[in-house]
Amino acid sequence: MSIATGFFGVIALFVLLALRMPVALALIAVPFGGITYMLGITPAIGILSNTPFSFVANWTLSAVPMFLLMGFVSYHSGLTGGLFDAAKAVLRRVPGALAISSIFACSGFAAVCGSSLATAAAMGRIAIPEMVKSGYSASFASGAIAAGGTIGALIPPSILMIIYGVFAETSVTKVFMGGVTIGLLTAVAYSIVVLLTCWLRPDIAPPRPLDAEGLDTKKAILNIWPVLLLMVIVFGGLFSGFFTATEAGAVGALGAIIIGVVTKRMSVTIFKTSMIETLQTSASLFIIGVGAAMFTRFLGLTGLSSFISSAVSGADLGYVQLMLIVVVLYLILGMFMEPFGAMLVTLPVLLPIFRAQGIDLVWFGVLCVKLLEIGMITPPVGLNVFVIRNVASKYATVAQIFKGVIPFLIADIFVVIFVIAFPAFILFLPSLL
Amino acid sequence: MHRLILLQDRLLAGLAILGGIATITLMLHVGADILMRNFFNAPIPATYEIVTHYYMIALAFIPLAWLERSGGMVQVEVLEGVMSPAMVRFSDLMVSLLSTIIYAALAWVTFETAIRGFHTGTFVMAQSTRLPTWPAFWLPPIGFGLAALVTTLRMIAPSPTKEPFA
Repeated sequence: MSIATGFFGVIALFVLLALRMPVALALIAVPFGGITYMLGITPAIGILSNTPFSFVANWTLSAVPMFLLMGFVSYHSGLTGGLFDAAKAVLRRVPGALAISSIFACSGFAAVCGSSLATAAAMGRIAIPEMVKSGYSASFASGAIAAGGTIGALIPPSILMIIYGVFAETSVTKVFMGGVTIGLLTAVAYSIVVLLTCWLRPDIAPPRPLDAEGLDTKKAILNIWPVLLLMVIVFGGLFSGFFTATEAGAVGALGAIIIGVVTKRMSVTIFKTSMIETLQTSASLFIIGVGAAMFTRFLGLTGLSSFISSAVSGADLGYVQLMLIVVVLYLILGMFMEPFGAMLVTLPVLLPIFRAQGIDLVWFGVLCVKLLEIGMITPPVGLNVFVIRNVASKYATVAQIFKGVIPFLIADIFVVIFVIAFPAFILFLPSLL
Repeated sequence: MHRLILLQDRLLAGLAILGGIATITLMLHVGADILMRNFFNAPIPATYEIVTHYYMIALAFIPLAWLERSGGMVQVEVLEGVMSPAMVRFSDLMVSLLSTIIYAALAWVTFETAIRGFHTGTFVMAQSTRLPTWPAFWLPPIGFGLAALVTTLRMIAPSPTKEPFA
């Protein structure tokens, strides 16, 4: 009976989403209606009145606006500007040096920024014109950066991972450590794609090494000191126990602003823009989180969560079959939804299943964020592709960028298979803590 | 009407500034606590409680109305491509109406919580200090109420274009 209400609620949620209801409000409306129907108006009002405050008044979540501010300040003030040159200087003898440098520059940027959109935008603006100029096809170049941007949410700090940690009640620091592995694994996989493309299609990715002219390796590496300093402060302080992962956000934001002011890269306009983007992103995220917390309570009350987990156990699904379902689910949702919405409408159903099956929630956090990031580059709604289109509209159309992304998507599939086949590989770094 | 919208936008920008102040204060407070704790062995009392109960609540709920106005609410835009302009307008209207109802309901129930908290003088214990938290309970109803006003106004006047971000 109430399980039926639960099912109906899930369907109602997706109908509301398809009718363009904001994700947060759909997530609030459905549990309110459903709980009123099941238990009456008083318990429904109880959940409606308590959840906003109790969800947001959360210490771990306070890292979200801080890491966002750190990323936006680093991005807008150009603290990360030298990363591409430094990567070029180091990698110039490798075939496809420009593309591989841009992917590793994305990885470097990812260490001070927790959002894949900002990473893609920052690198796209610098790297795509240069790649096109030296003979890369615009489609391949923009595809490489759209995909490379997803590393931004994999390598810590990662806003998606913080939100996951809060909902899964698992250690954010451990998920972060797993994120280092998956981020670097992704960067290596993308670099292999570039190497293969250079070899098979030299017409779209010229394999010849970079001109060493004008590239002073020492100078290029010295130029990235502001980013390196910020990384050392944040991660050094974090791992030496000077402050916690949550507090690291505040230190990072403060550090980025101070370094920006000292190196004269900061201005009032830059500060204002960073602040506006931080507020917009965190406020819209938190209200979705409030809805997701209500939806979780609702599904728990209907018994649907335990019904599905026992059905999954009863169906005797093997690990591989279960993971296949999860991967397909996220790939489909990722085509249409932005990652936070997709994550927060699925975790209420999936987490109880994984708990019942004894699947490691740190490991799943890493896989989940990876799958969501694949959704950033799949059509029709691929936010990274749209942002690349915005910063490089001179070079490629949306369709061309999606086409350029395809080889990187194939690499992503291999990465996902690897993560599912060897959980221990992802869990090695977290296990050191 | 134009003057009303102009006034609305001024006020909403003010909300964003308040949210910004909460964010910066959060950063400075946590930063100061880390310094005091590590170098002077004197952590700032009740940092945890003030961050969670005041700064977080302020930066999450005060800017809601501004967020609604600036098109920052996350939506799924799958069907928008296949909708005719008239259908999109109708859908916008329905979304605004439903949003108004939800915000108004949230404002009402959180307002009642705030009233109760005010009468009982809700507080949390931070080690041995009493930190009153009842003032913070007024922030969600204010945020939701203003958001309801903005979505009401949007039913009458058109909304700005939306930009995706994450």
